[in-house]
Amino acid sequence: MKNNKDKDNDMPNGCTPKGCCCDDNHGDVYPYPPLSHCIEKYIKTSVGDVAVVKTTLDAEDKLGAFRVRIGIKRDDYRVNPGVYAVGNPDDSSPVLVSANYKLSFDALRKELSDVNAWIVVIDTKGINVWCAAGKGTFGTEEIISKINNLQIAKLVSHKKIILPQLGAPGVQAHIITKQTGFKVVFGPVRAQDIKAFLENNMIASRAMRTVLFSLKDRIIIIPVELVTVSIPIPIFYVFFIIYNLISKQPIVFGEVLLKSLLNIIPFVGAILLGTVFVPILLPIIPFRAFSLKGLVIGVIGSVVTMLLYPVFMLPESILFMIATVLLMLVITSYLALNFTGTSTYTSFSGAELETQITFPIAIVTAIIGVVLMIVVKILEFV
Amino acid sequence: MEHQYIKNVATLQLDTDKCTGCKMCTFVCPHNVFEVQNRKSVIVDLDKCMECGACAHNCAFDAITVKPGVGCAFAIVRGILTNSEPNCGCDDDGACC
Ligand code: SF4
Ligand code: SF4
Repeated sequence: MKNNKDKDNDMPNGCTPKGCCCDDNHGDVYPYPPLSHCIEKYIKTSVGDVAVVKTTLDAEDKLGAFRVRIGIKRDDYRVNPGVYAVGNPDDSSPVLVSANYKLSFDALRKELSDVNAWIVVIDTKGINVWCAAGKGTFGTEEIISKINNLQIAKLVSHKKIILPQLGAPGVQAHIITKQTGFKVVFGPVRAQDIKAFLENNMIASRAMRTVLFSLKDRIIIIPVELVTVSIPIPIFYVFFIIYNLISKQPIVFGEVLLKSLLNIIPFVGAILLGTVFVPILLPIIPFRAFSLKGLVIGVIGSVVTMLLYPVFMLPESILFMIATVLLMLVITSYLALNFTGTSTYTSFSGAELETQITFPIAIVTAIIGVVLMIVVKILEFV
Repeated sequence: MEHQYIKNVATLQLDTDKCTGCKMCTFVCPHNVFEVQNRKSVIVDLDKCMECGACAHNCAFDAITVKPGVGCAFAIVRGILTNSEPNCGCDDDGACC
């Protein structure tokens, strides 16, 4: 199995360049972590001892990646900045620059079996390349200072450094060249292409340079997204419990709990549609705007809900049915709109336009939906 | 299937007079927005631009301008609410924005 789930270590989920989603509160505590299990040996160089890192990931690496993936221990998963080696490099070997987020570093080194190269890990505060480029931590100054401080000019006899292409929004290649004499070559977007890139005289093909947003890329994000968007579900539940407790009929508490559970199914369903189906079906759902894509999925979900309406034991009232549909549409559209932050091709101008139109409508619609539900309850008593 | 986002909104602009045809923009753009034809860069697909700013940053001849920003609704909403520049301060690898 080659590089499926590690792809987004370079091109992270939940992130577009220019500052999105990157937590800068990662602190500044070094050294971290002891990388000893990744280190094969040390070699002597003109700039001191350099650690040769393994090009295979062990159980510890994989466990760490898994924990980051499911959302625990996300901070402090970093590598100490500095020079590392793979294979048996000499002064003519290529110099690859990496972020000091351990998943970025791992994604790179595991593609470097049988390659002799130097890896310069710069300090991106434990943030992956793309996010860091957006934040500017993967930036011109940091690279210049690392080239100087780590004496790369002494380490190698050539004058070329390879930066990941996704770092480009954060750097000004010509300024690095001016200040250090090193020519900047942008490598491929995906670490998996790095070998082919090196063999191809450091020329990245069009495919290597293109950011995709493949089905796999989209699916891999779903678990973390689901955790976040599930937060309101207990609120829905409590809402319906209260709603059902206010009743003219005699109440059995256990029944209310059960009924409320059935009541929230359409809304939980809408969350799933927005978080699972929208990302999976993204390119084939009509319309370009994400909120409209969400609306399409919401309409489908609403139709199904209306067909199955009695199952959910919601009030038998046209008004309540309308409220249910409105809220479902709001949920799916909003979640789809939210997915612009995760996608790797939405522009700021587009997202801004879409948000300015959609957001007020969504809020008003949601308020109408809730008010309708309350009206239905009041009508019960009059 | 190719993804396509909202048309004709990207703020990308190219000043052909300044362009020297060095091709740097074609190397850094993640969506192949540029092509160099007859020693001049050409915007071949404006609608694919995600406004990441890589091209403008790396054009040594200042031929490109773009207003870089987060293509992320959540950040924009927060920007509106807090009356500041949209910026996601959320977790790097998570369900941000
Ligand atoms: S980077 Fe600038 S000068 Fe070079 S081809 Fe692109 S627009 Fe022209
Ligand atoms: S801003 Fe980014 S996506 Fe748009 S043309 Fe420039 S490099 Fe390409």
